[in-house]
Amino acid sequence: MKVLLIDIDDTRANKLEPILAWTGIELIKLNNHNTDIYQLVGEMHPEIILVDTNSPNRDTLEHLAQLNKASPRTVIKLGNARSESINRLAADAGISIYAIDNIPTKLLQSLIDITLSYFYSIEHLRSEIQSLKPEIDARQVLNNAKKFITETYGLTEEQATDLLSKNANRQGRTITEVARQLVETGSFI
Amino acid sequence: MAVINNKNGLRIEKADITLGFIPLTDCAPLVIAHEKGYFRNEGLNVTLSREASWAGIRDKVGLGILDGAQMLASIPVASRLGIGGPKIDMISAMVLDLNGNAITVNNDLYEHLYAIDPRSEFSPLIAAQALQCVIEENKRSKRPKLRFGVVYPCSTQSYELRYWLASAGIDPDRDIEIVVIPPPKMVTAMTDGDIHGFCVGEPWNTLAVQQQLGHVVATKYQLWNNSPEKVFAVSESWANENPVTHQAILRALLKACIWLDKKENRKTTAKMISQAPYIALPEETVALSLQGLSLKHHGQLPEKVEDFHVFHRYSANFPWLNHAEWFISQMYRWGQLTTPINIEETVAAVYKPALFRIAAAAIGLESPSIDRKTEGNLHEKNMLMKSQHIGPNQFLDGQVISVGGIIKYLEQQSLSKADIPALRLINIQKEA
Repeated sequence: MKVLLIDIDDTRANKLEPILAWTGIELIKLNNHNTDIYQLVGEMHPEIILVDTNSPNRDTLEHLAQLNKASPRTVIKLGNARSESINRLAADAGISIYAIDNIPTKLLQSLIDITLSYFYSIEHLRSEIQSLKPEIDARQVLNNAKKFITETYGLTEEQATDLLSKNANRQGRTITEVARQLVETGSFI
Repeated sequence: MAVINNKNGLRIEKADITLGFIPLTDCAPLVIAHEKGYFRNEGLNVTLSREASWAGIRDKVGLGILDGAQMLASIPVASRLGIGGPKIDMISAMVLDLNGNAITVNNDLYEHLYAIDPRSEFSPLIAAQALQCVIEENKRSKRPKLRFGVVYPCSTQSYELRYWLASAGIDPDRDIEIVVIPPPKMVTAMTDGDIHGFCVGEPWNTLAVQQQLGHVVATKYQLWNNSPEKVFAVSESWANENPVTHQAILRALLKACIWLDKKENRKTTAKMISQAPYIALPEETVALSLQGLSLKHHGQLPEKVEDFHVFHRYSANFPWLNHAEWFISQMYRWGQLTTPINIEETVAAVYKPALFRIAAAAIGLESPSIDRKTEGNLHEKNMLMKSQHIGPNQFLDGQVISVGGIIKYLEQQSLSKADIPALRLINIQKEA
C-alpha cells in the first residue's frame, strides 16, 4: 500500500516513518512546494494521502478527487460515525487524511489510532515519568534514611519509621525532609 | 471563564471563539468586526485564524476546530450535498459581500485576444469569443490546451469562469484545462507559466496587473451584477448548540459590513487588512478595488466601478434562497451533481433567512420580507436612482431567472449536463 505525505515537516514525518514502515506501507514524502500535484498523484496512485491540515495544496487534492473517482478523497468521518481520532489527528497533530473509497473503514481507523497513539505515547510517557520522579525519589530517600537508622542504632524498621515521624512532628517538617537531612548530614537536626 | 450576558439578557454559550479566514480582500468583515471591537462589544473573545485552503476551512468547521468561518457562498451548499468533498451539514445565515472577483489572462494570451478583436479590452463577451478563436486555432495546430486556475472545485470562481467561457460556446471541461490553486499561489503560478489565466478574488487580480503579468478581461460584477461571494458559515450542530453566540457574531459582522460599505472607511480598511496577519500585501494593491477602482490593464487608468466590493447595500447580507439555487443549477450544469434532489428543501436547509432577520432586527435593520427574488431583470442603466435595497442584477448573457424558475433557467443553459426531466419529476415547478 502506498501512502503519500504532503507538506508534513521532518519532525512529524520522522515519527510517522517507523510505524508505517512496520506495517509494510510504502511511504513517499513530498515537501517541495513547486511539485505538480496533478502529475505526481496521477503517476503514483497513492491509496492514502496524509497532508498537513494547513497545506495550501489541499484544494488541489479536492479537485483531483472530483476529477477522478479513483483518487483519494478527504476523510472526516469513518463510516457514518463522527470520529474523535480524526479530529485529534487534525487538531493536535495537524494532519488531514485522504483515502481512496475502497480502503476499509476498520483499516483506516486502526491506522489513525496507531499513528495517534505512537505520536503521543512517547511524549505522554515522558511527562508521566516527570510527574512520578519526585515520588520515587522521596521513597528512595526514606528507605536510605531507615537503612541508616537500623544500621547505626540497631533499631527495627518500625522503630526507625517511628523515630523519623516523631522528629518530623517536633520540627514541623515532612518526613521526607527529615529523612533527606539525615541521609545527607547524618543528623536529625 | 466569565459568563457574559449580552444586551438582550441572554447568555452567550461560548465566549471564546475562533473564526477562520482566507487572505482575500473580502475577509474584511471579520477583520473589521475584530479590529473595531464589534465582537468585543457583544461579549465575544474572537481569535481570527488565517487558513491556507478552503478544504481546510471546510473540514475545520465540520470537525469543530473552528467555530465558524468566511466561506465561498457555494461551499455550504456543496458540503450539504457532499459534492467535491465530505458531506457536512453547514448553514449560513449571512452573506459577507457581493462581487469582488475577476478573470485575468496572461500577457501572451491577452495579445492574442486583442489581435483578434481589440474590443476584448473592455468587453468580456467579445474577449470570450476571441478566446474561442484562439482555442480553435490551438486545436488545429495540435497545441496543448490552455490552462486556467480556480481556487476550489465547487467555488463561485469556478462557476464564474465556466459561465464566461460558455457564453462563447467554450466547453470548460473539454476545450481547456482547469486546475485548482489556492488564491495566494495564483499569481506565482502565472509567473511560472503554469497557467494562462485564472479566476480569483481580489487583491490577486490587481497584483497580477500591477506586476505586468496579465490583463483583467472580466469582473464578477460584469458576469452577474451584485452576485453573492462569501458567506459566514457554521456547522448546523454548532448553530443548534450556540444560538445566542451565533446571533452575537452575526450582529457584530453586520455592524462591520455597514461600516465597510461607507466610502470614507475604505482607505482605513485597506490599511488594516493589508497587514501581515491578514493579507500581507502592499496597501496600494489592496486599496484599489476597495476604493471602487478596477485595474484591468497596466499603464491605463483603472475603471471606476463603485460596486466592485459591496458589503452591505442592495440587501447584500441577506441569504437569498435563490442564490443557493443558482449554485445548485451550476453544479447540475457542469455535472458535479447528477442525482436529482429537491432543490427547494436543500437550499432551505443551508441558507437561513430567518436567523438573519433576527440579527438584523436586533440592531434596527430592516430585512427583505421575501426569501427569493428575480435575477437578471434589473440593468444598471435602467435603475432610476441608486436604491439602498435593490441593486442591478444583470447576467452577462442577459438571462432572467424568475422566482421558482431555476429549472426553466437551467434548461436554457448551453453545454448543460443536467437531466431536466428527472429534475422536473422531483421538483414541482411553481412558475407559470
